[in-house]
Amino acid sequence: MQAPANFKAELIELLPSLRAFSRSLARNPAQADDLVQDTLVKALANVERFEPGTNMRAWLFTILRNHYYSQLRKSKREVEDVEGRYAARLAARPEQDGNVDLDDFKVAFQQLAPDHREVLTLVGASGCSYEEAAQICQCAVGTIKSRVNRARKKLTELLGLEEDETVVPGDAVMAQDAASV
Amino acid sequence: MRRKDEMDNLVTKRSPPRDGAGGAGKSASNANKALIARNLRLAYGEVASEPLPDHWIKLLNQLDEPKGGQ
Repeated sequence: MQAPANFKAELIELLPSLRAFSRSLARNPAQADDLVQDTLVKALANVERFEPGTNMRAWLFTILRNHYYSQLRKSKREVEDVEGRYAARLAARPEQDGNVDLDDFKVAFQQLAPDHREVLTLVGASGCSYEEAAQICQCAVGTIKSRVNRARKKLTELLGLEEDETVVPGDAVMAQDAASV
Repeated sequence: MRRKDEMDNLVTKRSPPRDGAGGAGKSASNANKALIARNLRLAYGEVASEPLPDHWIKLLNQLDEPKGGQ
């Protein structure tokens, strides 16, 4: 196999973040690791197509993402069932004081659609720029930005967090304030 | 170790005070954005710090083999 210099070292360095990205897409850790494994096999088979000096993270993330979505299309039905189960658990436990337990956060995060999970992870956790995220998701930068906003809003709802701008029913003080404006 | 502390401190800590009129009403408030960002990074960091499976490294060792080798 003919790989560019440093290819392997660079790839190994990216494995933890590749795995974390995978975990944000896949439904469980085992599936996520399978996804990484498949990604590695594909990357090795396409070593020659990687241009040294270009963004290896974007290259790997793109391979993984494409693979994930092609699998998702194949198992659409199964996934919807799983989502149904999560939705049943959804009947959220609203947090009134702005605190969120990490486990609750993860449950809420899993309720999000895959395109919301991926942008939040790419931009919010992996340190990708909007441009890099757009490259990985094969869409426009503006699309990434609006997806991030929608994803945040959705997640806020799922977490039962109140938003500054909305009057929360039952909150007498806020309702009064709103009435007096 | 550091991560555990970070989780205990950060996750349960109150969000920073809200700074009034945040957005145009359609986006999450700044406090909620900060809370989401913090939890995203924690969840991500948790996974990224797990030890890597040996078989991944073994797989990548193929790269050291001469061209044509499997």
